[in-house]
Amino acid sequence: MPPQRRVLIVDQLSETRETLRSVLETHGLRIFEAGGADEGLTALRDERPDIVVLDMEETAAEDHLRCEALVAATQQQQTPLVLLGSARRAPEGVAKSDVVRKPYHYGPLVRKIEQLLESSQRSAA
Amino acid sequence: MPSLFVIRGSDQGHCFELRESSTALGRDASNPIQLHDTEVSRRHAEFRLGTDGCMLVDLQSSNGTYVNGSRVESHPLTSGDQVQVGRTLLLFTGAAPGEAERSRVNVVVGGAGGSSNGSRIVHTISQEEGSRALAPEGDSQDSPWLARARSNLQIMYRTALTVSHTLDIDQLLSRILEMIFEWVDCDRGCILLFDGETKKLVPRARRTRQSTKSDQTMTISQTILDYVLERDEGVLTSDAQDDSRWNPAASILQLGIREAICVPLRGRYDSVGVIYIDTSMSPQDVIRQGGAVEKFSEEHLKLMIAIAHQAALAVEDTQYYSAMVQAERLAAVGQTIATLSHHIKNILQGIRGGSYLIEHGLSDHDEEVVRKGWDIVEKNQNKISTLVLDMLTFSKERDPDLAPADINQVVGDVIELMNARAAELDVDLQWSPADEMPTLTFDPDGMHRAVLNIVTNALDAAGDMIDKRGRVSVRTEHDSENKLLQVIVEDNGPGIAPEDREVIFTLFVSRKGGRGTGLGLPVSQKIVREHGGRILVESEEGRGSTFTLELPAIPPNSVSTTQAT
Repeated sequence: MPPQRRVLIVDQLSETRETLRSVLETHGLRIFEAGGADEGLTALRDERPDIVVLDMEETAAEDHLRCEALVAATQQQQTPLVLLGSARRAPEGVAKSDVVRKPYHYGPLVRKIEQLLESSQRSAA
Repeated sequence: MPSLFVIRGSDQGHCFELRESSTALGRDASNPIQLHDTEVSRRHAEFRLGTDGCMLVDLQSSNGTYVNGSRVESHPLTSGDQVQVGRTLLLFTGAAPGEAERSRVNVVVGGAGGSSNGSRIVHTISQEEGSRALAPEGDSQDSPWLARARSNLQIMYRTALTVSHTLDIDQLLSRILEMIFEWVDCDRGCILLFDGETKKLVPRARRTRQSTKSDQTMTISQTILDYVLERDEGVLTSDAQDDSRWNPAASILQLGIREAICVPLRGRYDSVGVIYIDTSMSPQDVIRQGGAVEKFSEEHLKLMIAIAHQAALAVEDTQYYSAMVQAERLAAVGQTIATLSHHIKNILQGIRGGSYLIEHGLSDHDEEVVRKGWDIVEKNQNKISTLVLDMLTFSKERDPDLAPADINQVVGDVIELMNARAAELDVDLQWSPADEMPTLTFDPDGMHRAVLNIVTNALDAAGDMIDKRGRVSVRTEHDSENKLLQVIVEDNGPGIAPEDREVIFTLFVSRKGGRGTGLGLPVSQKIVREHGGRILVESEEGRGSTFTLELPAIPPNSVSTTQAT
């Protein structure tokens, strides 16, 4: 049995995190949560997730820079990233295909996460 | 109709028309003019309309009634008077006398057969020259000049004062004409403004002296208008023949003499329109006076140019103001839509998540997943209902639906509803109803909503605490001596930063991150104010906040009088 894949959810709203957690858990993923970019950076370092799901829309303008730092850190660690929100606000270096516009449907989001996990596993192998 | 416009205070922007012979003003909802100002007495003052105008009478208010800065017991009002009660400043506008014709502006430009066709220009004065109306003529320093200059100065001063008091363009124009009629002996006058879209001159206000027949169509020569606008000069015209002295021409004996002054409304950048006034002398008057006496002089023309410049600036200001109001309104609408869309989007996101889980759970026969999905759907359903109810409360002016009710019961219901949320956030929610709480008159549904929003905020604030357990205590009090009903909600949350205290009641401002809609507190405040009450806030950073909803305690038997409004 392959090891359980680890997903880090970064979103300011606890209720959104909870919904995403419930959905992703039904797909056998292990979830870590962070309520902000700083917390996200710590979790990225400590938990070494296989993928990061970040909602940038909910963060205030002053936190935007911190979010960009988090995005840079995931890129440095070559951790796949899914950005929730609008592509316009996405930091540089984030592929448009990695941005999921809100309001999204959970089916396609889950498929995208699974795809990214699969391809990163293949490239690591 | 006389009216009062609130230019400062919590009711800023409201306009009250004085329809009845007496109209009361006060904090209580029973007043036709209800002000949501705690420094205004319940019944503060009264406006009484009589044949000779409007009288303002103070009803022994505790903080007094002021007209143009002086405290008054009773005082006749004239247009432009500023009435101050508590922290509210109102601008009084009297009804224009019967002669003003705002609804029917019967003016024709360049109509055929108009008597002005035969007119010739007697004087023209450019804008710059007109602006020297108050400048001394040469070195003459003698008293007739001084007296005239003083009178002109007074006219200009009063013009500036009058036009600065209104932002309603029709009212402004009719006031300008009213003033001109006071100072210039003319029979008819009208103001034409350029239409914003068609760029054509459109008659906007007309006035005739009572002695003149007002049903006549007023004809203004297109040639004169073109002359005035093209050259940017004011003109004085007369249809009397070349010699200004008595001329026995038959036409004058038949038609009389018509003199007219037409000046451009020269604003900061461009002309916004023209002012036209004329006067006619009947053949009888010509004979009686033994000749054609000029009623209009160069002096009048100069004065008209100066008045027109002032008026044009005011017209421009009014136009800018309404453009600005319109732009602000559009911006506010845009912001409202953006904010609401954002909240609705998040709620939709939740419902989709819940549905996804339910679908998954059903196909996997996993009841636990279905249950999880259902909880999420239900939570978001509550959110959307709160949002809709808050929006509805905020969207319209409404009177509270007053009924005899028990505030302990209303607050008790809120506590029961919020217990689950408190448990979820691990907050200790305490409830101590007042031991003796009579049945009082208020809107139970409205107060439910007002208290619910405050308690929700308190729970969120207390739930944020990491270093200590959150605690929210709610209690009710009845102060029979001061006839007050209070609901006090206290939390031990992070408190409100001093710079935020000013804005917490502002619509769409939320300090709860993405959780808040920014509707809760404004809605609570609106409901409490509709009851004639207020919300008091005390907060200490790091210690917590106390919100007190204070309402007047109205016993049930006085309901009928309160509802009679």
